[in-house]
Amino acid sequence: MRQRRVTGVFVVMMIGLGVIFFRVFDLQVSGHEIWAQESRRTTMHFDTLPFARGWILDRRGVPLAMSQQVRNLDFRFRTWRLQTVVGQLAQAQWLWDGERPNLHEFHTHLEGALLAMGGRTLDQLASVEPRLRKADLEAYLGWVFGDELLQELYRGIEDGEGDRRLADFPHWGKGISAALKRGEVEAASLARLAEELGGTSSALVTVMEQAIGKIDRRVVRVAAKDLLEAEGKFLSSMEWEEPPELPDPEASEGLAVWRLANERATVFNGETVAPWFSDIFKRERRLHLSFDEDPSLVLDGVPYDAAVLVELRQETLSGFEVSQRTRRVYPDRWADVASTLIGRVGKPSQEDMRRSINDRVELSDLASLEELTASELARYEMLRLRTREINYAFEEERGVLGLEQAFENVLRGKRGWVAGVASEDGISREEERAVPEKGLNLTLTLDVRLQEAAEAVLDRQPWPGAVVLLKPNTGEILAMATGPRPTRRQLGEEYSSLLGDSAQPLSLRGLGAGNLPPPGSTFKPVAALAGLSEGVINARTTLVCDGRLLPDERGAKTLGCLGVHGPITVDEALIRSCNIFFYQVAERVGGEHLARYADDFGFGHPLDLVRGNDILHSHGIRPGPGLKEWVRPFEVPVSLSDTMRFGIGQAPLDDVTPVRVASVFGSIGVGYVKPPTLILGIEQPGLLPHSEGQDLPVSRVALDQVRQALREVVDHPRGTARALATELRRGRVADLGLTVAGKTGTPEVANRPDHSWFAGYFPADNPQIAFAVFLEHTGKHGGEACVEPFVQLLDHPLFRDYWSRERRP
Amino acid sequence: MKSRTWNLPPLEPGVILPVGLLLGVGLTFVWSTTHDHSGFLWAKQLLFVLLGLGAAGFVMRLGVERLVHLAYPIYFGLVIVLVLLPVMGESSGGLTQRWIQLPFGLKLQPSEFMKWGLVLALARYLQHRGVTDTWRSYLFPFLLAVVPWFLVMRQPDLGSSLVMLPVFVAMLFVSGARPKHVMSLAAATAVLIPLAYFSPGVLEPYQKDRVDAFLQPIPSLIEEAKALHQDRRHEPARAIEKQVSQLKQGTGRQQFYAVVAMGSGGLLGDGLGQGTQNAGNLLPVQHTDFIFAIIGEEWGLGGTVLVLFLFGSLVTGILSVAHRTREPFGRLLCVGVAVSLGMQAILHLGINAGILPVTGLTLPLVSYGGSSIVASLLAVGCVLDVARRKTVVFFEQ
Repeated sequence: MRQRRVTGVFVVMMIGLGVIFFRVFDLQVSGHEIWAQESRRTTMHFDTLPFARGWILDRRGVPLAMSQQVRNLDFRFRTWRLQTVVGQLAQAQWLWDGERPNLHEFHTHLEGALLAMGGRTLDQLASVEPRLRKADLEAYLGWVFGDELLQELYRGIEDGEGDRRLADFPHWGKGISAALKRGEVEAASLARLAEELGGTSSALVTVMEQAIGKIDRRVVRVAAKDLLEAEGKFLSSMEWEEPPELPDPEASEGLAVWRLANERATVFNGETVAPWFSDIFKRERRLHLSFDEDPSLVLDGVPYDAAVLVELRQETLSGFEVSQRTRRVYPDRWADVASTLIGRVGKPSQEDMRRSINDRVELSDLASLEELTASELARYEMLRLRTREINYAFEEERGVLGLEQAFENVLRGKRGWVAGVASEDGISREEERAVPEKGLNLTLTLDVRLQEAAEAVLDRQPWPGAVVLLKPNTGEILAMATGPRPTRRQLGEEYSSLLGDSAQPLSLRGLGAGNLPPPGSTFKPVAALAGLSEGVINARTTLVCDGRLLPDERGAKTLGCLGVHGPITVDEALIRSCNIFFYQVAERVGGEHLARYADDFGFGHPLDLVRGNDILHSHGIRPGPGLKEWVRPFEVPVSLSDTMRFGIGQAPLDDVTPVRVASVFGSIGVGYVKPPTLILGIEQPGLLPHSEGQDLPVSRVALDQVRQALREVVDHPRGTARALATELRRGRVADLGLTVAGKTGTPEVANRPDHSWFAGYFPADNPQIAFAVFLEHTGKHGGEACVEPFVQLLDHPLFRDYWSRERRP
Repeated sequence: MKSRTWNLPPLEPGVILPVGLLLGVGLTFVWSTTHDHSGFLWAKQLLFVLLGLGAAGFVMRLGVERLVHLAYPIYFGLVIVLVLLPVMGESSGGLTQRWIQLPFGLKLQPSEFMKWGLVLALARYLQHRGVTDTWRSYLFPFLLAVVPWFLVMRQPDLGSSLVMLPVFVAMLFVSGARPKHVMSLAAATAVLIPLAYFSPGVLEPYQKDRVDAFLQPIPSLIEEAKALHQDRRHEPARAIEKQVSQLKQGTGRQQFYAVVAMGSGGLLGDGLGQGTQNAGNLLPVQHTDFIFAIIGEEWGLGGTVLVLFLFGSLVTGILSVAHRTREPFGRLLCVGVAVSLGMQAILHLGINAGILPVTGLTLPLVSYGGSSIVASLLAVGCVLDVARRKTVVFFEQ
């Protein structure tokens, strides 16, 4: 009988073990794959490794933008809150009162803050709601004042000593002296850290407060959103006629949501607390936990000594961490050179971040599929790579202006990452690693000496303008200066106000700024070449200029000239810049033909920034937007008036850029067209193929005729640029022994002063540099306004340096 | 009547073998779960095992016949210690008071010994035939059980108090209580447990949270989300995943990670010390309350079946001693020990496998913990002593 009962017990126990066996079998055999996947997901941890951004170099390899490893000081709110006495006390007070306390007071009068805590009674402690909040508060009190006091408090609550103050308990004194001792050590460490950082403790505390405030605002924003949803449901079930107003979560700091929930709770349920009241705290607590995992950046570029201090005093500087990042730096010597052309880096845009998040969500969707189709697998692999290596992270830099933006895809590297099994202090077992890839270096055609010389010259002019220098035989732009332009410092600190400035200080005038100029008389050499090549005029053709001309067309307006030149040949017309002569040439050539010549010279073509797109494609890179030439294709003139105006470089031939004008003169100088370019190479100079030169569709004789005339523009006593000849022969730059061929231009602008041009090439018999000097709205003749800056450029020591070393014999 | 001698039959192999192997598995996994962050714990565990073996030897030397006389003193001594515990005890995190601080940094957990004391006292009382014939006769054994049960519950140590219930029922049953009485008792328990959950003040809030988390299990939600994903219905799946991630922040997370650890082990496991959940220290008390999950992760089904088999053999071995002994005290003692070890194992395994709500409960003979090991080996020592005196009768009926 008893033995049968023992058997009964045995059977029951075996049934229990059998149930466990079936469950274990189900978990480990049938469900293995799901759980293995889940295990990987919960334990795999990624750390990203920062990449270095590619450098930007000038043609000789002088770095204009570099990448540098810097140490950042991060602040981890959670660690600080759990481990420092000030953090614990602040958290306790926040949990108790629902108000974020003033950290400065805690740092300067820790003793006072601790003593103030002692004045509170057990009843006050017991009345903290909800339970989770009270449990947290008790835990923090235990950490500040020690477990012994906490035990005494518990006992006090059990014994119903509700009106006893904290300070009345025996372990209070011990707790407070221990807390003070810890506080002193921590304050000393903080002061030392502040000293190493070159500031004061109170400045550092302010920075910490800002970091905490940022986390708070994020928590409040998300919690308010959640609450709104919850409210929506709640209100509809209560059939409220008017939904109560919700305060702006941004405007109210700290626990706005908390109070709101509190009010609602009493409204809805009278005396009692609504059941979801505690949910609000849970949610808010959870948000705090999840948000304050992320470090808030406090300072970057922390000195080495401060970093070492943080490492050495981990115990007393809890919450502070030093992390390595890479940062874009612009070497001081050339920092202000071509500032707007090089551009700047900034934070990734919201669009970048949205894409990054969307990719991650889609990736996790795909990751949870058991069987993927081929296309899903491909997408999965692509997204995996993109989220890990390519998509922007919040702390990364992104080009937002100039070449930094246009070549973002070239300059930006790939993040590396480490994947491994997570533990509390990071990765405890590494499983996979991808080395970060540095971005590709971008070598520009610019020569930094010429660029600085050109910018220095422009800075002395009272008008905004541009100077472009390029090599006519290759099309490489040596200098593309804009004046005025912001310094590197202004670009960094006043970027947003510069963006909104109506004077467009960020635009590149070398590529054409807001006021796109017509070429004006600088187009006349092209018109002359067209006329000579088409055979409608020759070197001896004489046309009469009587100062005005009425096109033989209905409704036409009279066209004028700057003077009355009388009978005039093509040479003289160029030298003295006669409009009437070229109106007649244009009429004879015809609008369509003239437009074709303009097109052959490259007018209306966008700047060929990245020749050799194939090379970029082989790197998997597509140049982004950002650096565009402000140019649009011109309209082919149809009416006679338009054709004639086209002949002297006025509307409809519009919107040309200084780069294009310099390039046109270079082409005349060497006899073929090389598209201007700014990029010498990617990663290595010369990686990009040189484009083939395109022969000009003009006769040799015509070319010689025009070249001769362009020399005469400078050398002839009545030439429009005769002022330059004096300087070249006897003046400041006589020692250079240069001959210059060029043409001035004075395009008219409706209702505003004229622009000024001077463009050409030198030396006249062996062109090595083509140039264009352009000044906006000077109201002066091109020869008057632009020759002087050109002479200043030639006279500049940096130009002399360049010329003495680089000129070809 | 006194026939104590040292040339008795050899030690019961059906008990010794599983106990030895379980201790070995325990030491192995205490090493695996702790060597990378608190390296000396397995050495401490070895010390506890030796201490426990010594204690078992001492009990056998003492002999069951003396234990019978010592049963009530031991029981009441332990009750007094439990009563005094709130005054002299150590607390963990201000919530529970379970330990007494001993010299050399050792801590004593009286509730582990209380289970053994209860078995002794019940065996002592119930060995007489016919003590449970009427309803009124249950009063004394009920009081014997309820006092330590209440004290342990109040600490609060829900796990230990849960083990005491089946021990009490099983010992009543074997002592000859009427089936209808035992049935009514079981039915009353079935009613009382939900009642305890819903009546205020019985369960600590954190214990209620654990039950809540159990009633809304993360694993099943994850499977649901998975199924939605397979249908390419990502939006609703994401909504469930959001809910899961919220639940994971709460109390459900421990058990969730335990189930993940077990399930990811598969047939053969990740290998000793290679478990990812283990290496990640994601389970807060993996060397005590969640050691079975780590065994499942690192040795796979092989490991879990081994542990199940060893506990099965141990229970079989002890109950076979109970079956063949003709001495009521020894039989009841064996039944009590078998049920207390077996039920604690079943509860621990069930919690680890995600089919029971989380209560802090060690796996006897395997988990780290001095009090647990020593108390379990003491109980085993008693069984071994009973086993080698199959025919001895201590008390005249």
